[in-house]
Amino acid sequence: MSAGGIEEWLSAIAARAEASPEAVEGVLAKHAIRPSIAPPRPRALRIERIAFSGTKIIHGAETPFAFAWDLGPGLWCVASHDNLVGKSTVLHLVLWALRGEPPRGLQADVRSWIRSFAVGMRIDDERLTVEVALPNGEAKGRVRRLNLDGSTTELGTFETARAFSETMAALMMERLGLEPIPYRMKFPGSDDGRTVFAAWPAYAMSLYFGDRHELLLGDNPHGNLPGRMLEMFVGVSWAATSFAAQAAKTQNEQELRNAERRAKEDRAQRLAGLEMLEQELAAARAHLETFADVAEVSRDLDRTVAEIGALSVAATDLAAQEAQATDVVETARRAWTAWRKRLREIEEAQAAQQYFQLLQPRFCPRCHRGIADADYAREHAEHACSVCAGPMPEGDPADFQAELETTRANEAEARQVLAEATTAATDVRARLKAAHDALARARARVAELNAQASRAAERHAAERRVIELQARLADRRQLIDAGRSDPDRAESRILAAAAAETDRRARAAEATLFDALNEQIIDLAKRFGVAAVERARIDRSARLKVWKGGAAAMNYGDLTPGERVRLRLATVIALLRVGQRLGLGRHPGLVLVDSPGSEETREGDVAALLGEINALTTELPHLQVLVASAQPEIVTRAVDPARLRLAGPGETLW
Amino acid sequence: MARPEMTDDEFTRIQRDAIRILFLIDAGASALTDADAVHAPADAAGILRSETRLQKLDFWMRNPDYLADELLDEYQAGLRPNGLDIVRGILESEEPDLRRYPMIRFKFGAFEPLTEPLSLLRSFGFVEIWRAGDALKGVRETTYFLLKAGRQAAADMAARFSVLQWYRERAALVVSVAGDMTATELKERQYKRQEYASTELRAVIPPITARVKTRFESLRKGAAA
Repeated sequence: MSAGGIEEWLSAIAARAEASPEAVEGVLAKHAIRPSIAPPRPRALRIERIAFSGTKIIHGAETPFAFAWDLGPGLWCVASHDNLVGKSTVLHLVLWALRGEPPRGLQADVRSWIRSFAVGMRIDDERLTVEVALPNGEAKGRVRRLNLDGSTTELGTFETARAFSETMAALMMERLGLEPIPYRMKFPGSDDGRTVFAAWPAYAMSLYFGDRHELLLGDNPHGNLPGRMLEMFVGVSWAATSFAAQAAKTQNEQELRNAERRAKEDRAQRLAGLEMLEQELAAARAHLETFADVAEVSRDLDRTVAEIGALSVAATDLAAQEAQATDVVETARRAWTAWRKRLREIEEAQAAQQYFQLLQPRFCPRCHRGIADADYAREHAEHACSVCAGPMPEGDPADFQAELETTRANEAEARQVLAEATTAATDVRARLKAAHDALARARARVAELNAQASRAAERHAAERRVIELQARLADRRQLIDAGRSDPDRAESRILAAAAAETDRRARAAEATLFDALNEQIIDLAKRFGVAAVERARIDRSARLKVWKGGAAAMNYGDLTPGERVRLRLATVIALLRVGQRLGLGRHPGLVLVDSPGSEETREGDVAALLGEINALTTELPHLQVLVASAQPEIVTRAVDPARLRLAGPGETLW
Repeated sequence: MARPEMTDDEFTRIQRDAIRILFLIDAGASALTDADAVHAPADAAGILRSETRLQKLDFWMRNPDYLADELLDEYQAGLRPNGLDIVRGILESEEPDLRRYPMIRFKFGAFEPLTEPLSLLRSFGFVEIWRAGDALKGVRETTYFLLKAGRQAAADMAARFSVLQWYRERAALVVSVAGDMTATELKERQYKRQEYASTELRAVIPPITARVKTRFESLRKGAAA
């Protein structure tokens, strides 16, 4: 692979995600997805010395002990006739030293006996010593490098179990060229989870074949960890990048899912709130409509007040007219009355004259002298009054007829005048009453309008309420629209593209490797005595299928424990073989096998297995296999006594 | 020096006064007693005593509102059951306006000299006047004798002129209101009217038409209820 491969990878992701290379680099950097195309160089880990000491307490008897064992490459064995005499402890302490934390299998009482232990190891040409003291059960110690000139360099010290673990993880991952494997830990009952990193303790456990063989590699089935460790060990280019991209993609998908769910919930909540607001607004509007329009009321008030002014002027004028009309009526009535009175008087006078003129006075009203015939004669002849002897009036007696007619005419005219004046007065009174009525109505209207105007503050509040609700509604709608808009999925697309492109490259890279691996596994499985095995296929999830004797494929989990431990060993050694042949791979070449064949009755098979392993150590100089066995007689047949620590019957290893 | 001329208006007024007084004496004159006959002319048809009485009767002739007020008194006292109808007639025909001839209040009440109309009546032999002094009382009393020609003239005029019929009827009504009250009693009766009594001496006695109308209306409503 070349640098061009990286550029090609980036542009492929950019093309797939329809994003700019800059955007792709930004997203990859953000999620720490780094290209890992440099072919891994195999490193060799070898245990060179195991030493520990302490005090055994058995049935109250304290017995100090000290154990030390120097080892080299190849097959090494610790065996005892009796169980529970500490052969597993040797492997456990190696694991403890490598991992910085004790394996589950280490028995508590045994652990409490140990005061200190030290493990010497070689990684390629570097020699390290892990020295641990357990004064109070808590691990304290240091890691030193043994230099070629015999001096030592302290690489790290630790005072707590945690510090011990962290020190070893950092040291071993770096020196073995391993990378943390990201994988998803799902939350119970959920699609969601979190990304965690499997690191050195998980790798280390894949070196240890204890009494459980459920998995081909390691003891953690989560997150396809066995498969990923397999890819790491095989040394597949892009594998680490692929894991990182996959984890980032999954995490991003989850975050998107959660964001969408939250957005959906928010939106539902906002929609509910929106509906409530809309109802409130409708109610507020209805309330507002119960108020007359302020401007309208004001205009109406002004108009009515002006109207009152005009009406008042008109009413005052009409009142004056009415007073005048009343005066006119009274005057006309008096005139008419006077004429009627006068008319009657004339009629009476006429009657009186008509009556009296026919009479002849009989006495002087003064002296009461009787009027004699001679007096009448003289009056007739000389026009001298028969009573007073004065001259008689000339002509006819007063003629009332002309005056009567004049007076009648005057009376009629006066009557007419009165009628007209009365009509005019009636008219002006009606108009005055109408003006007063209009004034009263206008004043009532003003009172009503004033009452409405006094509700202005209330109306203002209602108006404000409507405006406020409208604003809140608009805000809410905007929020909902904003929430509706799709989130920027560019990052998701880039991560998905990165996962896909990287995975494609990893698959391409691993295809030939897996073919080679399958080939080696079947070869080794046959040598290790897996009966009738014809074909094996391991996949990138570290799931192994085998075909035996023309039967259907069998899964690794369906095989017997004996077959499983053989296939585990076959897989590890196949990795080493492929790695050695191709000059890549990361398996450190150390295998710790605890009690192989303990489930089996056929001793010969175990011996054959050990023999094969022994033979392989010459082919694979970096391979070191440490075996703890409870079957010394088998071990002694297959293992060089110099590489054997044996406790005979009744003996203890330490 | 020429004699003063009397205008036609003055003369006709005197004639009308004379007619009113004639009807009033005709209506108010009572039959002659044997004692009266001593002083009475031979052709006397009746007698009406005292100028004061004649003036009181004439006041009611000339002031229909005061007469109506008396009629309402009588109606209220139950003495004149048809009082309201008579008063309605007086008010509806506007008599308080059309037939009012106001009088001036003097020391003994309303008074207007009747010398001229009485002279006219005397000249035709309708009425005779006898003034008698009473040494004990220190006053002179005027007595009016209605002569037979005067009674005949009143009947003739009422029959011949419808416009004069009113005087005959009204005189009868006034006399019926006065009854047989003496002049003094009539004077006191007329003084019971607040407006009359409160009129200053030598001032015109004011009309009471408005008050009478109001009184009539309230009594009418009371009667209708």
